[in-house]
Amino acid sequence: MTIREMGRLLRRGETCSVELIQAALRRIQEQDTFNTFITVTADSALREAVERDQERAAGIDRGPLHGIPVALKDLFYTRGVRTTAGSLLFQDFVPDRDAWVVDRLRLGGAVSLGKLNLHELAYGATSKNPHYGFLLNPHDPSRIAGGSSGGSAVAIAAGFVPATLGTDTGGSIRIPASYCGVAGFKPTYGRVSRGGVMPLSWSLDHVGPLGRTVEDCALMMADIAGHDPSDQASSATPVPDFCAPPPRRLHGLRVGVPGDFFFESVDTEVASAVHRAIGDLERLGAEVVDVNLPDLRAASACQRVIQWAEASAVHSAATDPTRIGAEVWPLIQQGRLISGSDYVMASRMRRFFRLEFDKLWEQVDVVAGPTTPVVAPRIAEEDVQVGPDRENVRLASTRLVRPVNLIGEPALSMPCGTHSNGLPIGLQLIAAPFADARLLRIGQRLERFMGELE
Amino acid sequence: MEVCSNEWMPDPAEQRNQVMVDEVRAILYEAAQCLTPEIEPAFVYVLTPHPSADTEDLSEEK
Repeated sequence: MTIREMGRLLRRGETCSVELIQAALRRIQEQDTFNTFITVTADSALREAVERDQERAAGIDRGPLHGIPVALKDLFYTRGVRTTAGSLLFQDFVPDRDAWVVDRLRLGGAVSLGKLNLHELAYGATSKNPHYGFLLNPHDPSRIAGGSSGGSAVAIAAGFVPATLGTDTGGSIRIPASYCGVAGFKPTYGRVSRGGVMPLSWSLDHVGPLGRTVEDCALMMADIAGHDPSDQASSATPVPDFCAPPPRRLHGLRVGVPGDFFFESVDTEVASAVHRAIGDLERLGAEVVDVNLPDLRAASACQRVIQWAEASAVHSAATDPTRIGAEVWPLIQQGRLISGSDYVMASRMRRFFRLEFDKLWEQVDVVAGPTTPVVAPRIAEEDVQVGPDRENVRLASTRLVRPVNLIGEPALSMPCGTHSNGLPIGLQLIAAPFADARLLRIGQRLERFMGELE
Repeated sequence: MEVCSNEWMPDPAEQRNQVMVDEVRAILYEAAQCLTPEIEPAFVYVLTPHPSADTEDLSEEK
């Protein structure tokens, strides 16, 4: 069920929050063979559900998330509940405060069921976590869930909760959303606070929602967007109405389709599904425009240099390779090879790309392409076949999403079809800074249209 | 007699890391040839006024 569907049942009195939470906890206990959760907070969830039901009985409605079960990537600080970051380094870390967004969700009435498994330290795209178990894809457990917010996508795809929180530094919301067939939204940098979230790379980290539908993401954004003075990157730009319904038509919308970067090395079935979705946008009234993007291969290199340097600074105390997994340790070591000059040069290129994208947004409103060039790779694979080439799974998974973190634009991944092997395919839509609500409305309209066609 | 060589042997893991970084760095510096000196790094150090900052009141205090 989606947030909207659960909310409708709650408002009609056909169920209550306690029932929803109990059912979700039962499903997790009986069906979680995917290593989804690191910590399930059943007692506090049931206690909060009782409180939400009492409020509802007293005529208090906190909004669309009132009494709705959600779950949190185990990177968000939770007061009194350990926050491992998927790492042995933080296996006993119990924060004394909640992350800003966790507070906001609670204020909105959401009930957290616990902390979700992830790629170790949120530093990777596979969620093959050597300490808390490999996350398995509910569509095919021999496949990866994607990462780093793997548990956040699996919890939705497995039907445990309708929405979760994740983080995205180089695609970590959008990749698992694509591989697991759910919606995932990376907001504009600064739109959602990073306060109380374990950092990976300060200038690239984004907090955002994943949901069964794009609408679920929008409803989550309505509660988590806003200004947090404790986060120096947090924007005071007024928060738009994320709950506004999508338009019936998309007349006047200009959709940029960059052939060179997004489609040059992509699985043919993935490319076809994405082109069909772009055709649907056109049928809804949008104008499709061929665009040439700035050199996103270079943007990706800049993102990697910045992420390497910042992540190695974040984890400067990590010096014992026996406490860090074999995928993450080399990345931390590689970051230590980045010079100050390299970092500054990448940051200058970041300014250059900012200026280039500002020009792009004068030509189009949205850029469309695949989220990932392939569907979820097999767990045992180190490399994946992309057309005629073999490509490292991590680099292939991040290739089309990583550049967006450099510039900070909002980006949505939503399901747009199914591969002949039964695995979901993700469409990525990118928009101008602080066009978050508009982008989500476009996604919702497309989602409904594709649903009507089925 | 066994002779132990004390010749330094490179660590394959360190070599792999260096190769990986050098590949990405090469892409960065090739693209960076387009940069002109006025393009500053994207991180900007912005100060906000302290309560004791310059104000119109200063002249009245004299």
